[in-house]
Amino acid sequence: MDSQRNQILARQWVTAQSVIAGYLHAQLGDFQQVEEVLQSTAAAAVRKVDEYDPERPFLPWVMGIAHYEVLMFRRRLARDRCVFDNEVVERLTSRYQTMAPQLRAMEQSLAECLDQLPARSRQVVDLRYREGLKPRQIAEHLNHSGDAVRSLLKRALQLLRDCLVNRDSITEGGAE
Amino acid sequence: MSMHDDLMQAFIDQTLSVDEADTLNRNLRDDDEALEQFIVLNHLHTLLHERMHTVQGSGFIIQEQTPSPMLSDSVKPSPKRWGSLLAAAVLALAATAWFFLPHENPAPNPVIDHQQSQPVALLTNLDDAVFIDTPTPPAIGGELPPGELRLKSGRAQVMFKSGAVVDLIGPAEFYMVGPNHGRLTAGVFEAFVPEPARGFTIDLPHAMRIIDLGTRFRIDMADGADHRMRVTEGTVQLIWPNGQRTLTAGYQCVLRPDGPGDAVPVKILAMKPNDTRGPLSTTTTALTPDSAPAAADNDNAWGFSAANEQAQLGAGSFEVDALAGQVWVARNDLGENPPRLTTVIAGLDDARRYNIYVYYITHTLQHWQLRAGRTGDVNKSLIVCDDSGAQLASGGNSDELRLRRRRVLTDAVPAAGSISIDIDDAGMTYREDVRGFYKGIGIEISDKHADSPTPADQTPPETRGANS
Repeated sequence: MDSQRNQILARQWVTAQSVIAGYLHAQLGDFQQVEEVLQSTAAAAVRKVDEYDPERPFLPWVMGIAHYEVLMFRRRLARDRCVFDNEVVERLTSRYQTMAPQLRAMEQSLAECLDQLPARSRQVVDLRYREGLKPRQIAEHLNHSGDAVRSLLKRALQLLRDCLVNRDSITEGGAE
Repeated sequence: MSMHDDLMQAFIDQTLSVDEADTLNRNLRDDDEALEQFIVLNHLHTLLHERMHTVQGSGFIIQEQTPSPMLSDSVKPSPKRWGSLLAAAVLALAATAWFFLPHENPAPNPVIDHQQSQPVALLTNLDDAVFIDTPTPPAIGGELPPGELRLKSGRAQVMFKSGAVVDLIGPAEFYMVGPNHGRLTAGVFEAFVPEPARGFTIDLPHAMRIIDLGTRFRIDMADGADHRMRVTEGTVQLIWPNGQRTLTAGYQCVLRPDGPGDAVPVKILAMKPNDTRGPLSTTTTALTPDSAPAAADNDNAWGFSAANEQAQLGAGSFEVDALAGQVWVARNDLGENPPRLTTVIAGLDDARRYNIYVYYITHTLQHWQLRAGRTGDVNKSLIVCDDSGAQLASGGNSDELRLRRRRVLTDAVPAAGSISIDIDDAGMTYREDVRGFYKGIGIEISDKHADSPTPADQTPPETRGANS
């Protein structure tokens, strides 16, 4: 393996991986499957590194590999149920590439926006993502109804989205 | 909350019914705004999962964590050792898993913690590396526990669990303390620290410590020379017994036993294409007459823009300020194919070697690029200057513009006090999203001694990799 290409590949991957993971999640909807396909995508990228032209943008190249790996993954599982049809997958592929700078910017501001979340919103976000609980389990833990937890989560994500995309400050009063 | 919001939330919660999936599919197919909203929410969901989910239900997880006191045992996800993820010992798989490691703040002291027996890094590359006192040299893809790497010569690249990538250039002595923490006692060290590895810490002699805040930096502690560090991108924090300081991109300082010296600009002299302000000068001409600002931009000539693009890139750093003024523009998107430019750098010292850079502007959504290389060097193709160059500034109405710098010559020897660089556009006559924006030349005195062997004139590219 060409050592310089290997080095470039590793660095490019570091900066692109969250966008690739998001792209895979948009198609698979399940993080266990995302991890599996992400790893096979990385392995394929290493195998194909000699085909990569470092003078061309990395993301379209690796997303092409990721797209193929999704197809192979579904074939292996004999899993033909797909949420989105081919036309939507193509639109997702194209739009993910053009939105990559915005998505990376979101990544950089996430910690700051999380810190601005009201305490109650932050608690349900922690339970959902840090502890990996489903809304039903959060409801049991907090002794709330499932609908109340889903509403809290939806609101918390909306606040984070507004903070990340529009740079809106999160204010305690407007949160819940 | 709209119906579309509800559908997106159901997708994330994996509770979509077949009918709801059809509706969401239709929304994403027919409505651009709905598609963007979906991508943003899905990405937020992915980032939250990736950043926060540090115990192993999903398999993204790799490191053990103190259990949350909030949860009863019945709802705690079961831990999974990250070593099992790496069983294949394939570099790619290992690297992938490592990128998803949780990111720790540095320990207050460089002591090895309870994870001493666990690997903290991965050897990702070797280049003519010769190790000292290592009966079994590590292999590429191998895991590295806390401990010392003593490199007699060559280069070794290590990726920490945090995702920080370190290049050691021998002779060097480097100690891996923890998953985001190392100690350098000798040698040359280059670090690339992606945002998730923010907090990457390097201890130096004399109780000096560097905490990286997401950047790229280099430390030179070679024998027989001043020890120094410089920051190429981002910001680092320097801490020593009597004080602390931040050092930002474009600055360097000497590292002394009593603390760092003053921060001074990294010695890349930024010059406009035609610049006669100092002892060095640049003169730029086109191979065919092309000196007057073009009235129309589809005349196969370089045009000049003094406002718009570069005016929006702001000011502040010494390099950006030095380049303020006209930008040379090639409009391939209008079908132009302007001639190759030649920039002659005069006033150089023939006894020295120089690294030469090109400054240019790129666009986040379009392919703005140049090609550059030494004039008359028919054996080497021109280097493509595109999104891979180091970013110096950003701006534009939608933050779409990037001022970048890319090294095009390394250790170049002047001839009669000058070096000549060719600059060309993308080399195609038409493509709707291709343009070229040339801002100037950067000149740096090489670290190589004047009597070093044959110059390389090669281009270890100063790449950042992705769009910033």
